[in-house]
Amino acid sequence: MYLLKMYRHFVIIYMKGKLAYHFSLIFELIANTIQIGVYFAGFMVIFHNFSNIAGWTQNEVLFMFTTSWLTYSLSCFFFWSPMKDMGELIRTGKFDLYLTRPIGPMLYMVLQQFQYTFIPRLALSVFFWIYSMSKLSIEWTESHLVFYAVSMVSSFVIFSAITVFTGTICFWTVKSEEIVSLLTNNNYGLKNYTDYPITIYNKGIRFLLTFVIPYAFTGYYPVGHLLGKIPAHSGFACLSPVIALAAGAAAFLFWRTGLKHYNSAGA
Amino acid sequence: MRKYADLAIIGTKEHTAYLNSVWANFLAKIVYLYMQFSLWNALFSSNAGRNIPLSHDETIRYIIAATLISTFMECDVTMWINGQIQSGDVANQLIRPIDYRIMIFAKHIGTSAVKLLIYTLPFGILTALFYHDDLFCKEQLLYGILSIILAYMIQFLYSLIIGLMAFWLIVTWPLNMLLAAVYKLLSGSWIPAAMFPKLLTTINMFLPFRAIYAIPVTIITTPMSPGSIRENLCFQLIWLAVLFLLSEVTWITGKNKLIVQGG
Repeated sequence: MYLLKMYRHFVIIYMKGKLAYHFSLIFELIANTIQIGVYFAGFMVIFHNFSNIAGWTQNEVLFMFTTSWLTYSLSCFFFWSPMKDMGELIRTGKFDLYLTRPIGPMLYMVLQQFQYTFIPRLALSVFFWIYSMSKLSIEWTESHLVFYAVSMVSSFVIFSAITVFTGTICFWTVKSEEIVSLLTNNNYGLKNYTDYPITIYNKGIRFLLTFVIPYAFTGYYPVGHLLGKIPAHSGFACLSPVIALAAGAAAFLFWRTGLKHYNSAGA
Repeated sequence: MRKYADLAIIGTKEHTAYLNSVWANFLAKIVYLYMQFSLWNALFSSNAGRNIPLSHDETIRYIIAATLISTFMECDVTMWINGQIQSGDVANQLIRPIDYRIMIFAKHIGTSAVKLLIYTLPFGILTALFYHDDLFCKEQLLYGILSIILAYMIQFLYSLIIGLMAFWLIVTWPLNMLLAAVYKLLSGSWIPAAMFPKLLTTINMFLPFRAIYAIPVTIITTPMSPGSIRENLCFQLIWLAVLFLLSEVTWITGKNKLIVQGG
């Protein structure tokens, strides 16, 4: 409970700081909305001439990738900004500051900020998520609902774990911008691969997205199972929580190791 | 001439200073192209028999050529100018006995030259290993190259104008982000412009974006009638002239408005 209270305090302070430049804040939100909006527009343009991709209709694909984007935006509210700043913090030695706090450095970094720039992405994802759901006739039985909810939580954990991983690398390399952008860049990041059914890629990439960087478990497997698209791999769909647990634990351990390895700038 | 060559060399050095980022950029292009390649292949193979404005082959050639061109076309001109105006460094640049815009252009040419060498060339060889058919339309190759050069100039002038907006805006990144998104869609670097729905095509008729990717890439990969090649080149020339005049106006008014920190 005290964590929530602390988070509230931190967010209020953070937003006050940002609101001091309210024009810049508004422009940031508008620019983000347009950027994400254009991505959706492009998606519509791609499907303007085609009716399906690898057996998935436009709305099915839309439902799949908004599911994934939704949890991604939620995860980014907490983890994106701290992990993006890790390189900078370690380069300048400012990370020491976090070690002196009475709560863990990770917890502190997560709580002390609020990445509002992901609001447009979340809002547009929710909009298209509802839109695609209304176009599809999914039978929402109880077991489906539970399955979908568990998958969403797993997907949140998977995204967060990957973000933490990329941030933790900085303990050794001091820089991870390149890796972060290779994974999540809006134009050419690996994450974009999972906006479409992964059957369109070759075996190696499918393996990579399933077992190495498990992005496929954030959308393709759970939604594919829900829509009955992947009878051959429906066993995979139930693996989401397992993968999430494994990824979460691995990220946690990696972070702990990194933390032990850290010995400040100049020391 | 010597001083411009020096500036160009500075551009090449700046770009290659961080070897890791060079690798990352190169890898990013491969990741991107493979995704595009798989996406369009899958779209065409699961929609056989539909009436689509571009054929399967043409589309694949289009996206390969567009990615190849993008390896040297994109530039940091907007960022350089923004940075110099925001920090007030532009005043130092103005003292020099060289025209500021030509200076930036020289540096840009240097960067592009090194990009041609370290990205475009290896990337081209790599693609040739995997794509065995003719990528380019041989009869139109000369027109294509001419069109790419025009596109390069248009892209430079466009970036210059957006960069100079910093005279008025100071905080420019939201504008850059917004325009980058519009640019990505309308220029045709992402989705072939021939695939656009009617409304978007109409809007695009009156904007310069398609002169940067859609036109050169189409000329170099798709057989066209001489008339439409001429029409497209004219479109590019007109936009080149318009953007040149616009950049002239923004530069003169912006420079007069400039007050560097401290008066």
